[in-house]
Amino acid sequence: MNISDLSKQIEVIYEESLKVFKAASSSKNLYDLKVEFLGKKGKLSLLMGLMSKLPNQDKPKFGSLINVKKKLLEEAYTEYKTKLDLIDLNKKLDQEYLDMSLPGKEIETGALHPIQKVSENIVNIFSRLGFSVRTGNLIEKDYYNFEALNIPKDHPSRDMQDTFYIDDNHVLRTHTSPIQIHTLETEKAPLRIIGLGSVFRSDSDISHSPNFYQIEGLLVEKKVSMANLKGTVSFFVKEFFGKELKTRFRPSFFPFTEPSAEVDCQCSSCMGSGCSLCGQTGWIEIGGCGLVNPKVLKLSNVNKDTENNETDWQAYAFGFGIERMAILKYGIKSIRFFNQNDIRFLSQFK
Amino acid sequence: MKISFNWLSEYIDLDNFKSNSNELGKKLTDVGLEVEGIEDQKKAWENVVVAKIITKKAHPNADRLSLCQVKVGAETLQIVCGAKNHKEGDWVVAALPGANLPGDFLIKKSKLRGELSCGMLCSEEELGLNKTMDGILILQKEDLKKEESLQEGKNWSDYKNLSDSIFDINITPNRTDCLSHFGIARELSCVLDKTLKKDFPAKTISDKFSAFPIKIEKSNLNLGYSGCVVKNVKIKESPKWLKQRLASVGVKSINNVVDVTNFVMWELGQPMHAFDLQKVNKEINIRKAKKGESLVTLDNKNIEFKGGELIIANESSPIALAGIIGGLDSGVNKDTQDIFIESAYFSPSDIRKTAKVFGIQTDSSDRFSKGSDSSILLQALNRACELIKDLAQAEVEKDIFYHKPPQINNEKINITQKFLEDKLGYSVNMKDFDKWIKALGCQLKVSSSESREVVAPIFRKDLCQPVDLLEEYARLNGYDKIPEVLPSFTGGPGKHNDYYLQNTRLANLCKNAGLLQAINYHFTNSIFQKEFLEFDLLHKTKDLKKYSTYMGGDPVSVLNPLSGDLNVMRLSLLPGLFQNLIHNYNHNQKLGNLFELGTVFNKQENNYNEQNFLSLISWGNKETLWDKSKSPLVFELKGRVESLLKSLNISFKWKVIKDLNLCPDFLHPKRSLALQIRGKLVGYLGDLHPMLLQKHKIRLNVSLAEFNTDLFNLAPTICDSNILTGKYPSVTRDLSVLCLKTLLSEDINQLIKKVAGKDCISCRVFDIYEPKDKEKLSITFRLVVQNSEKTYSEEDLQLLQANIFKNLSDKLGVEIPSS
Repeated sequence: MNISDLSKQIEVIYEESLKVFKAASSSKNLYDLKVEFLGKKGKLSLLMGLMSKLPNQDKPKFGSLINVKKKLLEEAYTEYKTKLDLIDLNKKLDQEYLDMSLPGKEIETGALHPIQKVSENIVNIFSRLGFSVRTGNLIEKDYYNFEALNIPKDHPSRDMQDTFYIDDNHVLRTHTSPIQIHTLETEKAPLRIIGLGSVFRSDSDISHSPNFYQIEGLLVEKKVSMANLKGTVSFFVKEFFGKELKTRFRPSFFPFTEPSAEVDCQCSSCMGSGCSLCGQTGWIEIGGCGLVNPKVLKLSNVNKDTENNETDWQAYAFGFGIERMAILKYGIKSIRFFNQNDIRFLSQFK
Repeated sequence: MKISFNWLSEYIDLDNFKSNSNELGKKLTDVGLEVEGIEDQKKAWENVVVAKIITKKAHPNADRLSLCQVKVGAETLQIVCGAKNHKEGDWVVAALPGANLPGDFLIKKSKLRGELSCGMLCSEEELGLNKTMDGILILQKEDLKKEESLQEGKNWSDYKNLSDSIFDINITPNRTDCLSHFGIARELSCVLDKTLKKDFPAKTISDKFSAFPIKIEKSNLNLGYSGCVVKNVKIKESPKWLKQRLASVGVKSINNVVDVTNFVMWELGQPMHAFDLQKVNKEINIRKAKKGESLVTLDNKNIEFKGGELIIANESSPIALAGIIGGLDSGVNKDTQDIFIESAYFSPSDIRKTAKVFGIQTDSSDRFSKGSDSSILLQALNRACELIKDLAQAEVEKDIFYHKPPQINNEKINITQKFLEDKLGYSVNMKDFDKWIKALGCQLKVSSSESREVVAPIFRKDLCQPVDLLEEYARLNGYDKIPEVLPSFTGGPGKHNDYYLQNTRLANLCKNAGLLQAINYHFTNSIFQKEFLEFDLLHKTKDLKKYSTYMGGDPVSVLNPLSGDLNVMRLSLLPGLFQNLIHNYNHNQKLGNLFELGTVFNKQENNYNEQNFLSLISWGNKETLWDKSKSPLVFELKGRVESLLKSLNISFKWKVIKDLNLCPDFLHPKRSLALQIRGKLVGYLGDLHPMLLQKHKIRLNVSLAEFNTDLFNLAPTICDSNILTGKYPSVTRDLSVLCLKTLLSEDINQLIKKVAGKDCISCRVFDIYEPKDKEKLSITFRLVVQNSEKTYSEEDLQLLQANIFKNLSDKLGVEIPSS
């Protein structure tokens, strides 16, 4: 037995081994072949056993020869195994095929009513100016709905608001302003509050609902001016519509404010150039406001008289219709939609 | 209020605005007289022309129609006409394609029974005129003569001299001085800085009035009364100019005398009345009506007095409801010879009350109840007398009756530059202030360079505080001068109130739970509400109290509802949500989930309670098996509610309603639950009663729930750290039992938990199986246990399981399957 014979045998086993590795049909089969050739009792290991019969000077040479082949075969094994694993994996993946065009398991998405959404939106804007929300009862005493707001009994300004009565002394509040009076009576100035909620007018047609929503603000400070009021409303308009829209005041009359103004904002749809939404005027009426009438501040004991003393509290107030704001913001075509609660309508306000 | 441009031009020079009425409208709006619309008469009659009928032939296919060749200018058009009163050579009025007649009647070219018609020949009614002849309007010879330049094709508005612009102005209740043409002109003279063209002299006060006695009951303190006699009036049609003035503000012409009284009201704002002197019969009494007296009013309605209403009476009976409407009998008619003309001032609140009681609203009552100008009586009287003298060839008697109204002069108002500047937020030039205030007719005294003493004229009763003058200055100076400055704040940070915080939190949680928010009216139809809440086949007479177990009160009615559909405040949100369901169902929305957060109302004696409810309604099943879950719809709703309550950290308990008397009628008696929080009933959940579904023809499952959110007490979140520190793993065991269908799964669950004791992490129904032929049900519970001292071994579990099964079978009679 000499080294060249053994070398030949190694070569034969090596070649054979490469051939069968390559031909292996699966990674299991390949593993079995690996055991057959490279295992402890494998063909290559058996050759290793013959080393003792070689002369001493040939032993290292033979050892390194067989190790080189062994290493090469192991590399070959890894290579083929990777390939076969990939095939197996692909087979498994194929078996796990799903029609991914099938619909997702239906999980309902809810929605807030546009009135709720717009209310929260408006409150968030005024919160940044330090205003906080107050609410109140919907069945209100005549005094809080009218008289405390400088609307005496048998006064023509009562005709401005068609009123639902519950009894001689109780009405369904015609505006959110009674909230102001309750706050003025129970909390101390200075104040910045937002009154929010449902109001009622006995008036129903294509553009009027008998039960709608209002939001209003009241600020009480030692110094309050029309400029402050316009600054506040103008800030709100820009934030609410997210556009640089101009704000315009027009003289008007409300019994509880003097001076009073109607608030117009530039039409958000045409940016003031005139369109069907704003009736070609470029402006849209959004609410009313004014400096709180000194008579109102006296009636609710904020000031002791109406003499406009230097130390007196002063106040401004403003109010908007929430449906109107929603109509402008979302392009809702009719007030009818607000109370129909058609799910096709509601589900649009995610 | 309607204001005519042409009429207005009689008092103030408006030539600058002649071809630009919009500009004048803008000026008015800018000072607070909001112009809501402008009707341009020229535009309104576009494509309506005077025409001559050249030939008239029978329509070949219709007996009642005729074919007319009509000359409408250079061209001749064929128009099919259905009237019979016209002939060849007649002058008529033709509406050509593009014309828009009153009532939004658009004229188009069309074919009538196969013949082309290029427009329409108009009747008087179609032109908005009073009807004097049948068929179409044939222009009469005398009309034609006046029109020297009559031509075919001449525009109808030119022919009729309709070149006015009518402003529709929204006069706010404080500006009673602007309820007339002269009033608006006066305001414009200030705004445009122009002098008025006309003034109105007052009738001279005479020493005596001898025609007949006029007595004023002493109690009528706030009253002014003037009048005089005009003899030999010739009652006839009014002249064209007067008719046109009245027509422009929408007032119908009656006769020359009545028209003058109306004209003066629209001119000066002072309501006038003319009585037939014969019917005044010896005397006039201005007094309170007595109970039982009655009056037939001008519009032929009989009113019965309750007593106390202010009336004008003759010797024996009422002849007018003072300041509101005259009597039919004492009115001016074609046989009237002598008249008494009244110009008065009545207390606004008296007129308001009386007009409201009888439900009568007239132009007169409207002006008196808002507060008329008490200083103008004699000017108006003089104006009316002069016009009647002129138009009815009458003799005006010299003596007049005059009871002076209480002339309350406006009080002095002191105002300073600092006040103006502080409140407006910009610097004020006092010269401008003086200019505007004087232009308004105020008396002005300069007390110092920065302070003024002002007295407003009587017709501006609304100017009584410094802020009123401030507004006058600001609006005349222009609201656009007000700068925009955010206010500084001296207060501390505020806090939203609890209701708002809870409401928004609930709304957003419900939204995140996949529900759509509904908002319904707070009032509803009382019958629908009753029949929903109280639905019960056998106990029809029960009152609503049963549903009030947790509300405890009667429904609140609206005294003056708009309709029966909205006549009672809602007791519950569910009837409204059910109506929404019906709407959606009828619009083919067969699957949906709605919630509503809102106020419900009830009363106890005379206290009105408002409570805040949360209600939910779900209908329909998932349409596809792919999406469907195994448990019935009502458990989906229950799950949503549970997750909502857990999100709010509320500890709650469901109670199966076993006593039928405690189950609301609208719920399915075998599928209903009550919710308890801290032992208090807070609401209900269940399926809708099948009879309600049947009644409204709804073929779906409907589940609903309603809770009083005022009783939700939100607990703060507290972190339980022990849950993370258990050293030993938890183990899971499924326990299957067989039990009668009537046994509550929750009772079994509770017992399992009790036996497992403090080791129990959770126990929940895992599966339910219902064998077809058996009365029993197989329920599997999934129990999770964990011990703090050691790992649960299989033996421990066996022991626990045996203990649980023993307890279940001993206490609940549950069978343990042998498997």
